[in-house]
Amino acid sequence: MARILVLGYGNPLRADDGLGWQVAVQLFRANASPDVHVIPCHQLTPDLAETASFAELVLFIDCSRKGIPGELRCEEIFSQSGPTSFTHDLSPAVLLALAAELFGVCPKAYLFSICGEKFETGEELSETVSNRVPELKMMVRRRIEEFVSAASGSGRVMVC
Amino acid sequence: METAVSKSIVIDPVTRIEGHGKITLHLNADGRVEDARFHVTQFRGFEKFSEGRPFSEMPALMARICGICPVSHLIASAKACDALLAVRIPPTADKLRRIFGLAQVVQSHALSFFYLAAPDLLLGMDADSAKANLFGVLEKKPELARDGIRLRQFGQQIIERLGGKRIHPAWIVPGGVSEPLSELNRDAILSGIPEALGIAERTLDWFKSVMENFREEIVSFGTFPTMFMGIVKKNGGLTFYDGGIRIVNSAGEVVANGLDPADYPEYIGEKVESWTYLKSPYYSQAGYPQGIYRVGPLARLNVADRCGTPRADQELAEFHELQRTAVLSSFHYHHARLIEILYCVERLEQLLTDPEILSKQVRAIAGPNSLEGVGCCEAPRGTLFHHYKIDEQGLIRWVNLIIATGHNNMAMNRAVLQVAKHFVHGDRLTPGMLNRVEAVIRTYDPCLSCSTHAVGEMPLVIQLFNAAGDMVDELRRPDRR
Repeated sequence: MARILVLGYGNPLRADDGLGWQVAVQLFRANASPDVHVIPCHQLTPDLAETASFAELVLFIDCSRKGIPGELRCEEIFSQSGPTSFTHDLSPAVLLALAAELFGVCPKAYLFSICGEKFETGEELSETVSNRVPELKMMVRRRIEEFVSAASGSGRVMVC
Repeated sequence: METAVSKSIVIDPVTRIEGHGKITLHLNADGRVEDARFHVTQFRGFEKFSEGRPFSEMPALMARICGICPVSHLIASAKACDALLAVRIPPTADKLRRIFGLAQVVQSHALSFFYLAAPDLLLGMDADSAKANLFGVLEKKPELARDGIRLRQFGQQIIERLGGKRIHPAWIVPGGVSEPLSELNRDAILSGIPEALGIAERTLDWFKSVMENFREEIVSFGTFPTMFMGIVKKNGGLTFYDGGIRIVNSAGEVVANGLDPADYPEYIGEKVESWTYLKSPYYSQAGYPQGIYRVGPLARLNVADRCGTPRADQELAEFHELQRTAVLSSFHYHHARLIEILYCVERLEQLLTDPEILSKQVRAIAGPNSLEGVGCCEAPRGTLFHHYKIDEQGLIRWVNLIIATGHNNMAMNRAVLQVAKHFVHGDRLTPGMLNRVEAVIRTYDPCLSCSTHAVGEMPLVIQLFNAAGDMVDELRRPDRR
């Protein structure tokens, strides 16, 4: 079972909203490590809670609507339990809460995001967002390497 | 002199359904509900923008209509394309398509029952809306929440193993499927059957144990005479993939049997109303609106004589005992959904252990041999029709889609009216009233994105209008997704 789960989510037919999906697809193609499981998905659904519970580290990749277009952020995510309202798609924090409450495991997690500019119909990312993708991928890779180094004190895990 | 004033209530958005809609309740001068309408406010237009595309693209294009039941659109579309090719697909391809469809029914029904309906069933119709979700279920009955997640995962993983991805897989193609099933994938899927069967059986047992708590809802949740429609095998057995159309009346008597789905324009009319983007299909021999019928799990079990798998057959026999006539309450859509899950899991095992299932002959190759084709299957929410016309170059010239949720449009409107008449009194809504009005819609598990073929966010509202047409109250819940 992979120790690190990468979840890139968004709608690939809605321009910048497809950032997470597109990056996850690129990481999936480049990934050769059995330690890393990459899943591109449209949205975070409850059934991903069990998958997340198997991981020691979960990295979410999403496009943000908050901030200045092109702004790249990485923030640690903590489980958010208690009353919440949803139907079948979740926020990263709620997904972690579900993993903790249902399967007894809450992995460490980070959300990598770039603030989007265009959300119209289309498969292309805006130039503003597209320009930041290499940096985002680099940050994801570093986070994985740091985690593996800290956990095992050795080895490099390359995902892109 | 005091002027009598009638009023209306609007519920917008309707929550825990797929897509967005609005409900308006119209009150008479005495403050009693006189009329109710379920408005579907989304519009997409897949039928129009696929014109001019090569027909071979249609399955992949049509799968984009919905993120919940793309497989049904793939199947119906591919079957319409098979008709354009005028080919008979290889037997193994037929079986693999069936497996794909059954897996989707499992995951879609699991989503509907465990994620959307279970909060009402477990916490009650008057529960705090902030807790009426999967976390509420988790708090009160964690094993139910866990079962829901595991069961949906089971269905999703079959789709992923066969189609390469969970959402919008393009594995089903005109003439068959693009890849055979590997032994590894077959064995992996089979290994999940015992757990899925266990979940289906214990959830059915639990549902039957709490049904008594909903006596009032059972008699008032869309409990009225309609016809029921679905496809059945030649022996009257339940099927999701192909067969003849059967229609039964509210007494459970067969009105029409063995109708060819390709002839649907001869027996289904489509009425367009100005207040909704959802069309209102009806049985044309009975006229509009008398030709009202329901489709989906409740209808399928009302039209089927048997399931064809041992455990589901036992449950079906018990289900048919609920009423001497057809089972009329839309509340029993939930019950029917669980029986169908059980059937699907049993049927998956039968198909996966078929000696031919690993055959490499899975696709018939041909060019277009017919200029018109109809594909029909049973989607989780009911009968689905795809009808295409092409030109000599194989380019799409005309498309008509009749989606499961559309078939139920008239019935959903009537159900909302019945629930509103029973539970809504006065000119203000209580959360319990609101939830029951929404809950009756949830029994149908409508997929508005599918049925209007919709884009964008249009959450649902309940609005209350007086006799003079003035809005006097409005309840607008935040989008809870």
